[in-house]
Amino acid sequence: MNKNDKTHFRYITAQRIALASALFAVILSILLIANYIQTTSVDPLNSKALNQLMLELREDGDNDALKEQIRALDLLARKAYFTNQWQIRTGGFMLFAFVLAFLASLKYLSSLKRRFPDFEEEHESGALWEHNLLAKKYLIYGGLGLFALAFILGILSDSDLSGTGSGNDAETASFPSIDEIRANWPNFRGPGGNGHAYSANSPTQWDGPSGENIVWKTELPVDGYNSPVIWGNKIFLSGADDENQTVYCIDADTGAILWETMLDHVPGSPEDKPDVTEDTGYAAPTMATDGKNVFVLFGTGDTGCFDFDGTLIWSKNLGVPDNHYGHSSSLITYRGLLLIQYDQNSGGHLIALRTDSGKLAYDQPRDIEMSWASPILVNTGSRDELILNSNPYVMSHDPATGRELWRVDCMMGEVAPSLAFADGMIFAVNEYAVLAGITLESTPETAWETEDDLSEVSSPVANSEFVIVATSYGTVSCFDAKTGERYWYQDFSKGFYSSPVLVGETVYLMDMTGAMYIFNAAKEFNLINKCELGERAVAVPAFMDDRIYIRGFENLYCIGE
Amino acid sequence: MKKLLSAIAFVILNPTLALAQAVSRFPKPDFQSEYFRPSMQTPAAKSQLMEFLDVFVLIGALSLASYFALKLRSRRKMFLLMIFSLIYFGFFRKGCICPVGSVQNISLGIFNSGYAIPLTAIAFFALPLIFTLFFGRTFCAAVCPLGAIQDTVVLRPVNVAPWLAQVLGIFPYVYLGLAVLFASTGAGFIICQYDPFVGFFRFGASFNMIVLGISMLMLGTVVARPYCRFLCPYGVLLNWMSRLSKWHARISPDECINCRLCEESCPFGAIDMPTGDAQSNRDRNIKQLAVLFLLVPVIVLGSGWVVSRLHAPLSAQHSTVALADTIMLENSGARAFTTEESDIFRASGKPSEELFAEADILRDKFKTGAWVLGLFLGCIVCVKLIGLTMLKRHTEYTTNTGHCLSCARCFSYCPIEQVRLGNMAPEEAMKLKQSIE
Repeated sequence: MNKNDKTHFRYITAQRIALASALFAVILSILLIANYIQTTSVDPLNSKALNQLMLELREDGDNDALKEQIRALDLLARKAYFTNQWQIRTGGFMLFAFVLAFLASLKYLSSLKRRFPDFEEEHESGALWEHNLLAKKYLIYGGLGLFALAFILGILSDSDLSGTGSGNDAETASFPSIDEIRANWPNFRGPGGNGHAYSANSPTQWDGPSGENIVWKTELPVDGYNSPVIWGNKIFLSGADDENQTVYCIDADTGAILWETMLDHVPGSPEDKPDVTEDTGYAAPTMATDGKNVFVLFGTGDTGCFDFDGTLIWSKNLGVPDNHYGHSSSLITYRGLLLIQYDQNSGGHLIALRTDSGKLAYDQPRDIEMSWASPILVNTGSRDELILNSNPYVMSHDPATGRELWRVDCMMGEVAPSLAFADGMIFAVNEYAVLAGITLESTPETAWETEDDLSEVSSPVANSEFVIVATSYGTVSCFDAKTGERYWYQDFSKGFYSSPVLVGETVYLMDMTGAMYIFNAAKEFNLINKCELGERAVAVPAFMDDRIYIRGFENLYCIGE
Repeated sequence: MKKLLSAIAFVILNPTLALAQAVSRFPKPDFQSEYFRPSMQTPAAKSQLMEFLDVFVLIGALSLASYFALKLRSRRKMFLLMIFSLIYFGFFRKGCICPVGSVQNISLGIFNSGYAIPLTAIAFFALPLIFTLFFGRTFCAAVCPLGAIQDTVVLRPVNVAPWLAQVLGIFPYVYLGLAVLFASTGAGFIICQYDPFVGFFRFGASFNMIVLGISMLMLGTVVARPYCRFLCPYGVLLNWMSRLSKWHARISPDECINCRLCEESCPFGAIDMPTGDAQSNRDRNIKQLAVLFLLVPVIVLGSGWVVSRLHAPLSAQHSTVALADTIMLENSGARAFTTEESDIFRASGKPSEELFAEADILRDKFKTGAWVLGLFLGCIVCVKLIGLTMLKRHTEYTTNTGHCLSCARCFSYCPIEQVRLGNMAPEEAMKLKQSIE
């Protein structure tokens, strides 16, 4: 066989190898794709037969034959799965080998071909120059195009960041940590609005009339039913009458009024103030602070943001609340957002304003009737939730977006008490409705309900074992947090509007005369002490740094040793 | 037949996606018996022997490649060496460490005193450059696994128009500049991240990278070595070294007889053809050259300024800066949701101010780096424009020392080479040239 014959023979052989390997590769590809589709469409652990057997086992847990059947089926499913995996792996390697053979034969075939120029055409020496000119032209055009693109991108990317502030700004936004929040008293009922205080040694003995353990007492310039909020050594309160809306700041160490500022000339503020009842007033909502600024809401719908020196940062009117008693839901902040439960006769809203500017972040409509309760902000184990009590639902929202997370239908009437949270359970109460324990495992649902001793104003407080409820007619009850079983109840002569606060295992509960009852959260009622304030009070006390701050009707008291 | 085979090739290459996407979905069984699950153990550190062996193999392969290209002038031997390199450096060593990516190691080592460059990385970076400085780009021809895998699929190469090749030739410089910038600032090794072929070497990659790799190989069947010619950042350095090479592969072992037989032999367009004596519009070219020289500072500084404007999006590729931007957006309320990264950061307890300060330092680095990148690219554009304006004279067919990969494809086309091999008598070679003329 001469050289040409050998080359021809090799050419034919390579061609045939290419064809054969291509054919095998295509067949294998189809089989692998079919296998892959089958594998992805079938979940071996979720087969109907297996699930059915598992359900049967739940009802008949001692059935050994059933267990063996499940094990056998499970083993079969796993074997099938791993066999499948082996098939895919082996098939893949075989496919690779066939593809390799195909490519190698194609490569050999192409190497036998020579590329020669068209000798009929003369090689033009000027052609190179033409190409160079073209190259220059497109290089310049391309360069200018990239130049323009880069320029535009550069400007756009700068403007994207300018609205939020670059890293070179003197003050950059940051949120207070959970420890910072717990070290202060930033909103109604303390950190998260849950009625828990994190002070180590709160006083248990004082007497307002005699001044025992009263560190200072400051006359309040303007009346209001809101409770004090504290950050650092600054206490913030608001007050309002028919003429003015006032925010003031008091030094927590000395009781001196540091500043007093009016919130007026708010764009959109109503000329005629809405009608409100005397026991609500225009300054019922408690303020809130995020450690940098303090926020206030009045019964006119006017809301404002002040810095800690009393300078107004922004103000806006949310619209006059359609509320026959007057708006009382308090404020709370979350990661740069001011959250407002704005439930009215005409429908409910969860409103979030950006704390730095007052701009609306979201306005989430709520499918509820009126409510005077305040939200609680808790981490329920896997996420932060803003949970609100209203008629007829206890409803949870994502505080960052306002999106509704879940709802439980368990309330009725004019809901004023806020919620309590402890150990994966929510506790909701309202007079003429129920006290409900809602479990948050998997799907939130009512775990128990009771109709004993229901509160109309005071919010409950709870820990993992007990739920404490105080009523406006003077009853205080203790329930089992898991079952709702009532351990004890006590009748007191005066009713309670203020909500109990839990300090460790100790409950602080103030009646309408300002008398503070201090007792243990336990299966039996054990009164530690009763301390008189000396004036009427309905606000929730603030606990911070081993001191208690109580707003009476006329004075703000600082209690400590 | 050829079309059928091409179509089949298309169908065959796609199902490799199935392999790449195989995901384990079977959790461990929930044992009810007293089975004791063994605790996880950390394996002992890998021996460095293989890495040093790689260096020796690299030196050996480079030496052989240079010998085969310059001394033996054998395409067959170059091809076989290339297959060996593909198997060893590609599939066996899984494409890492490779000289192409080592540019980033060097950059990081220069700008980050806390990074200790492995000696093997230095060796992989320097050795191909040293060999290229002496012998031309024999590394590309027969040692680089990325080039090798592309070379194996060159089946029906078409000529890329020279002007297009010139324009596309800018992209390796851009890629090199970006790779150095990102590596030196710690933003990442983009050459490795976007290596289209390493997924084949490791039998697994993300869906996008598999698609990119397959696309690149399919393109490579008609456009020879597209990654090498129009993307490879290391190729920029090799190009420079090769232009200075002491010995370089030549088409003809002796004097070129201008027979034109090798004109179409190079699939990479790396043969410089005779330009003749006359240069058209000489005066215009001189004027253009003068204008270009005047514009050099404008182009260079302008390019520096424009690229520096991109420092914000460039710096956002760094994970620390991206996290700082995310935290800032969430803090200001511009974003109403949090991300997993920001949740993890907040859970860590690290103050945001610290993160913002780190991000600021990085942004400053990117500002400086972007300026340097822009100046570099401006210089490259100017050099290219000047080079295109100044026509280099060639009187014979020669290899372009910068672009030629020394693959030895063109040798067998040359009648003088056939004379050297004893396949043709010298008179026959001259007759062949005359018959063509």
